[in-house]
This record gives sequence, C-alpha cells and structure tokens, in this order.
Amino acid sequence: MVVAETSQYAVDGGEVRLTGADLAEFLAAVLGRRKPFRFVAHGASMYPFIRDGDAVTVGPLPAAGSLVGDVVAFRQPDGAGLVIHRVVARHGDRCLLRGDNTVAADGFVAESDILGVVVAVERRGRAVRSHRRLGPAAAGLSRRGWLRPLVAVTRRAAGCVRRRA
Amino acid sequence: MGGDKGGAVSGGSGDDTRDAALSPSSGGELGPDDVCRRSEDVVSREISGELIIVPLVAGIGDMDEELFTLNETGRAVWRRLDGERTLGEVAAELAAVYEAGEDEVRADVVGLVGELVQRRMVVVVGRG
Repeated sequence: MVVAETSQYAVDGGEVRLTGADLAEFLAAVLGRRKPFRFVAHGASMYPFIRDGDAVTVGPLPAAGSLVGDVVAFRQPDGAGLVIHRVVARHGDRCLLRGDNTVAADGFVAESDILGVVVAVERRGRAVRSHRRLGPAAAGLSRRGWLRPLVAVTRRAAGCVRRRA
Repeated sequence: MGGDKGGAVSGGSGDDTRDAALSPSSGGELGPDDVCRRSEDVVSREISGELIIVPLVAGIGDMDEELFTLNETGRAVWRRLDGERTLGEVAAELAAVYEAGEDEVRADVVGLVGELVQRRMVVVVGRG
C-alpha cells in the first residue's frame, strides 16, 4: 500500500497537491499530538484487507508490544514517501515489513521510521473489520505469502456455505 | 470513525481556552487589544511555499475534511499569534514590514484572526 503518489486535497477555495512525503509530515505531526490521522490510501499491496481508495485511520504506536502482525504506516528509508504494510517479524528495534499482496518483503525498517498503526479501515463509508481479526497469526501467513490465497479460499468457502443455507 | 465526526472541536487545549475562542475577551467582537494564539487543535506545515493547516476535527486529523491555506501575509500573521502579542502589536509589526498604513493593516489582521477564531484554528487567550 504505497501512498507516495501526489494527491489532490480540498482547501478553502481550491485544491492543493501533497506528496506522500508531505502526507508523512502531517501524519507524524498529528500522531505527535497523540491524535489519529485519517486519509485515503492508494495501491493494491495490502489487498484484500486494504483496497485502493479505502480510508485508513492511523493511530499512535502503542506504548508496549511487538507490533508483529499489525499493519503500520512507515516512512520509506529514502524519505520518498509513506507506506502501509504489515510487520511480519521483528529483530531488536528493526521490523521486517511486507505487503500482504506483494511477492517480497520490504526489508527491515528501523522502528523510528514506523509512524503509527492502522486502527480502522473504511470502504465506501463502512468500517472494514477484517483487517485486525487474525492478529499476530497474520504476520506468519503474510510472511509466507499465504494470507491473500487463504482469505480468497475462506471467502469462497463462506460463499458456498451461504448458498447452501 | 465517521460516527465520531461532528461540528465540535475536542481535545487539545483545555475548556477555558475553548470557551475563550467562542467569545473574545471583550465579550463582543475581536479587537486590537486581544491576545490570540494558534489552537492546539490544528497542525500546520509549510509546503512548497504554502502554509497548509489541517484542523483536528473531533480529535482526528482528517484529510477528507477541508484543509486551509494562508497566503504570505496570512502566514506572517499566523506566525505571530503566539499568545503574547496583542493583535494591535501584530498589526504594528506587519505595517512596518510591509510599509503599509497601520490602521489598514490592523483592520485586516483583526478580520483574518476573527475568521480563524470562528473556525477554531485560533483561540483568544486574553487582553493586553
């Protein structure tokens, strides 16, 4: 879920263009006040949990906890922009991140580059509850690239059950 | 999340300053003797020469809500709203900087700050 593209935002009497790096600036500033930050994400790397155009709310990092399994917003190490991916492992103060729908991990990212944790996802104005349901188990599944196929199979099975009922 | 949204501003500064924001210290319209500061309920950043202000509506920074920008003179006022100078002092400084008539600048400053107070981006903290 790369949100580094420049996007238009409504301002009084017009529009303003903000890059992903700009968005990261605002995100860090708002989270610095211990307030959540909501914006529209773009990309497919967190499909199916987060889809292109979903509104995500990022909250401050918890005071304690490993973050493994959580979907987080982090600043790309080169400063290019803002990315939302899942923490799939942790070694010391570095986290291994990966999109649920990507072929490879992003690599290790310093904890200081992780700005916040995704606390809510909305699609067409309705809350998407599934993004946190798997908890830490999601980390292992995502790391092996099994999360997306597993969700697809589960949904297909649920559809069959509903049709039979 | 959408259900949390509303017209009221929450979080940030305490109730005393929020009440002050709703009614300037004079009890009526904002005046040059009022002292104002930027609200705790906004985040602002200068990006590509523009000052962009994100209000923390209902305790959340929401890019789906309308953002605000200020032009160069607006930014000059914004930077000086530190909770120490009166609006008259801000106007006097700007009149010197821009070599403009102080009365005219004072009216512009009071007008702009009045609008920012109404939008709860600035709070009135006292009277000089």
